[in-house]
Amino acid sequence: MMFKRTPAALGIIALVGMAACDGKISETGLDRCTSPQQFFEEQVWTPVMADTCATCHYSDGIAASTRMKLRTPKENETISQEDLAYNLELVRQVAKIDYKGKSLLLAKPIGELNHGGGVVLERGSVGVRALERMAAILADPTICSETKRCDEVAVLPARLWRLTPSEYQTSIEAALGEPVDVASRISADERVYGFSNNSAVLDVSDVTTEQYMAVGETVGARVVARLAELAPQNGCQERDCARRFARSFAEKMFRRPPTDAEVTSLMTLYDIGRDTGAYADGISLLAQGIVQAPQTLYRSELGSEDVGVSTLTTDEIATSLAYTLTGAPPDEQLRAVAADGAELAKADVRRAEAERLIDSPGGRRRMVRFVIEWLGLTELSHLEKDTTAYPQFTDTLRDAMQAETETFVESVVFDNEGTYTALMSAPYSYVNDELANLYGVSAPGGPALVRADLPAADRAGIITQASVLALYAHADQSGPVFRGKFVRQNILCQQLPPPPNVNVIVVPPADPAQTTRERFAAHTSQPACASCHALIDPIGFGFERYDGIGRAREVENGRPVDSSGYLDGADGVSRDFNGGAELARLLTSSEEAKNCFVTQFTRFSQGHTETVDDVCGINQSTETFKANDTNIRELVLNMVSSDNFIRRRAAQGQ
Amino acid sequence: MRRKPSRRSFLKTMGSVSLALPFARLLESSIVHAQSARPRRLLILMSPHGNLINFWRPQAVGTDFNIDYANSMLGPLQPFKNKIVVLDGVDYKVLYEKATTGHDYGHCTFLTGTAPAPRGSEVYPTGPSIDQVVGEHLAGICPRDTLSLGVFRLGGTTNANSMIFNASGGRVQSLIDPAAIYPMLFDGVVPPGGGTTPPDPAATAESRRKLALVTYLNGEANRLRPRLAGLERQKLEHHIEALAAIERRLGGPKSGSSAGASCDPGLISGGSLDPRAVDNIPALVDLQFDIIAQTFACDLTRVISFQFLQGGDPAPMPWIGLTGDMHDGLAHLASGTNAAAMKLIQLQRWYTTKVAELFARLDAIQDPQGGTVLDNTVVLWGNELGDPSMHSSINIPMIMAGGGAGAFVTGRHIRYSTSAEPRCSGVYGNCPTTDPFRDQTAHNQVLTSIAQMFGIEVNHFGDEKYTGTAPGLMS
Repeated sequence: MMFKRTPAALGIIALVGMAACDGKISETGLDRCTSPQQFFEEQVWTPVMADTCATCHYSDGIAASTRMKLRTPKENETISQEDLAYNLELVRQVAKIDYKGKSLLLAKPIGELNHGGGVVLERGSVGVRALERMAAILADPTICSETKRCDEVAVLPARLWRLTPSEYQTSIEAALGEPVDVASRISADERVYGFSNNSAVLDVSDVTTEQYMAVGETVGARVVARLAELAPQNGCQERDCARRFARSFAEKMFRRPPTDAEVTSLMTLYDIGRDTGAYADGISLLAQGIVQAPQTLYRSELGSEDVGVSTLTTDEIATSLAYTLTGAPPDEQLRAVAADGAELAKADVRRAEAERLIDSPGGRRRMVRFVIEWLGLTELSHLEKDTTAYPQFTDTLRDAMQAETETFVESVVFDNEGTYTALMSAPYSYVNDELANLYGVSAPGGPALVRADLPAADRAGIITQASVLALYAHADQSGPVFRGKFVRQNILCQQLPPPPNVNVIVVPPADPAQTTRERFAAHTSQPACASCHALIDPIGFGFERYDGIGRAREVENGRPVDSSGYLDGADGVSRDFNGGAELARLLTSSEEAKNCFVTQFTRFSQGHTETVDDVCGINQSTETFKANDTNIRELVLNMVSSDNFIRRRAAQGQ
Repeated sequence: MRRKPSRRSFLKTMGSVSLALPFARLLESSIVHAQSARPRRLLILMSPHGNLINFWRPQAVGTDFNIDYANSMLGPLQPFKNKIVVLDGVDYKVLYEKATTGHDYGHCTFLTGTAPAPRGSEVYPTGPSIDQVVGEHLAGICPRDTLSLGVFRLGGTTNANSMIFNASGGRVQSLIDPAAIYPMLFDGVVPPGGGTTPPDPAATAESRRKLALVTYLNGEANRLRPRLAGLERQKLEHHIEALAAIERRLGGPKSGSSAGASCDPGLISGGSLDPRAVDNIPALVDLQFDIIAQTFACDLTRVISFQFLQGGDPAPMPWIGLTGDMHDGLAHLASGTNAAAMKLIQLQRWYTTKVAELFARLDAIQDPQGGTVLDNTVVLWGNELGDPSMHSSINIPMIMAGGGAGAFVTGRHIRYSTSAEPRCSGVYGNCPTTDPFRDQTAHNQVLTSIAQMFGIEVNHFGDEKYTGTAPGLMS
């Protein structure tokens, strides 16, 4: 069925495609939807996409270089459920992208936005109506009447969630009560949507296993150095003293009391250490074993039952609360609540503990970390600029930019308005002398950050801060493409395709006679570029009032800067803006932006990439978030007090 | 935010400690029983930012080629001209025919030969890299199947800037900190020359403890296994396999049968350096190369990969006077003989100089079975791009070197195509004829050749569309 097509044949394909789908699709079927998966398979994949889209959009097809690379069955086979689910996620990603009020899922095949394959579906055809309805279902799966309740479809599987290097460090430090350099000794993990804690990719590899062993040796040595304090030999037989240490150290590292069987295994380890040396060698080996045991390395989220959906054990709930909210193991108070039977399974008890944890210093740091990873600022400390173009971009200025954003986030969330709206539009920030100079406000007199109102014409909230603007820019010039893509991807959760195989992917060199906007105009004059840049540039050019390190500017190369742009909404309205501050204020009323913020926080707090099954839960949270005036602390507290925070589907229930 | 590099010379200290350690007898006996065949090794190198074909391509083809001309990117390899094969006209066909071009895909496809697919925010190759496959094929010969090293200023935290992937599609992290790598590799390794001391009881105790530790960890991990399914179980099984590999290593010999007289890790000296600081890059490269040389000399593995930074990294190279942005300020602007092109030549010549220095280290080590380590190694040196200003997947600079103990004849310039037009990037519509690349060799064919050199009987590597070996390469 699959064959390679040349561009010349495209016109014919379009006709064949339309004829094929118009003949097969059932009109009445469009009203029926038991689940997004059912609708996709019966009304979208089989009658429309398999013949119209997947003939080019597959691994050997001429559209294989696009983001829409669909999985197709081998000849004479039917498509598997796994491949259907994969394709549905691809479709969902594309459907989320707005172009002039239309989902890209529609805008492409009807040719409203340049489509390499031309117009393959006619406006108003049954195929288009099926895609329209699919996009609507993906945005709100509750449209399907027989869809299960949100909290039933969105139960996470029973899992082991490996600690991140930084969580591992805080865990060891909490157990030892002294600082230890751990995180830098473990290889960095793959980031998913910018987040370093995605459970699906946090594994233990050959490389990290050895790194854990090296950390184990350090911890063993630290314990031995404080032997009399940590594993005292008073009032006990040598082996009993060792057992006492094993129990107490394991309880700290495992976040629960070890079982008798676990202690027995540990004592075997102790015996070998003791046999080959002294008491201290046995204790050292115990510490090494405990610190790299799977019970330590993984946050256990297995649940209390081995079959079906069950509630996490009380120790697991305490662990989950603590790492989610503070990036550290449960403190003594939380452990005490956990020890009290089923208390933490109660939403109000959980909420009360969460309120305490979120406001603690660790809770504040965790919130800041979320924002840093969400905005992609993780690598800011390694940012380099062309010092010829920006001689004032010093290491101290760069570090001040990062500190400013961190201080701002903590202050907004915990000490001031507390809302997403304020994060995106607050008229103030925190500046020292170098930053004050950059922003054009009066210097506070020193390197310390002091709250200051910034010029309202150019500054509103976090996306107009120098940290974001400098990161999303080139080394020697601004970066309209980076900035447009940043807003689409990080702020609106619309993942864009990579550049296609086109002739020139070059940043136009600086030209003293032109503005950046003029130089980048090629994007819109070449159709192959325009199909994506029509999504990116109208937003990115709106940031042209900032240079490559985030300074405001009215002119560039002696010519006035044009920072007009527009933002496409899913509601069909394009809203004009001029400059980053106006855009930021516009985003505070964007439905997609709020839904995206909740999505991003869900990714971070669950360590999980959402699928269509998570959409209705995210939508519900977004409604509550909006009803609470976008209060961020409330969003977090509601999430940890929800039923699904403590429910998992066991291996045998999957 | 940057840590200041310390001047403490940890490696020297550690080296002298390991000199005194035992296992000499073990090693000695394994040398006595060593097979007489020369050990065939694999070394993979990758440097970023693409090339300019007119300054990379040697003059003349065949054995009388010339790399010693003005502004030749390969010039610094002149002393090893007879030990290299320049593969001219190799494309990432799988990218321009089945995926997309760009830095992100070049890294992933270089050694996997697959068309990486985007999923969510990430890119995923669909098969393992050649080093992992060869390593698994040679499993058990040395303490380690493979070793992945690199200098990664930006940490190497995405699939898109990584090149090593295991059979289950997982990214294999490259080790970047020599101070951590050194003890991991060399603790317990004894130079064959100094092997007369009797086994040290403390070391025996240490190895018993380590073994007990791994046995304990394995038992605990297995306890959790039945409670997991699907991806969750796969991840735990991966962990269990990693523990099993360590267990095997602890129980087996500390070196392979080709540890020779040059095995002396104590010779490596250097300070503890921040592996993410730009200014440390040259010193980090030197240390990693010392480690590569000693790892082969002591026969700790037969397969090593090394990645110089990553595409898209704007890091300047102040040590050769290149300031500014190496990515868009240089690689993206290089064309013809413009100023950026001249700088790109300078940049690539630095990488070539470093590769030549590594070759010199390897060529100075004699294998006990004959030949130098360089002679006995299959070296592949690649890049994530061809012409960088277009993110081109055409004319990827690929060099093979060493010869792999007779696996291929060196001292040649093989040119696959004369028709390819470098100023078009791979979409047929943008190029002069419908398929100007038909004579170009798919890089999969180079990977297939390498697999066959190690006795892996396959007719394709990575994507199944690209079959056969690289024409004229193998002996």
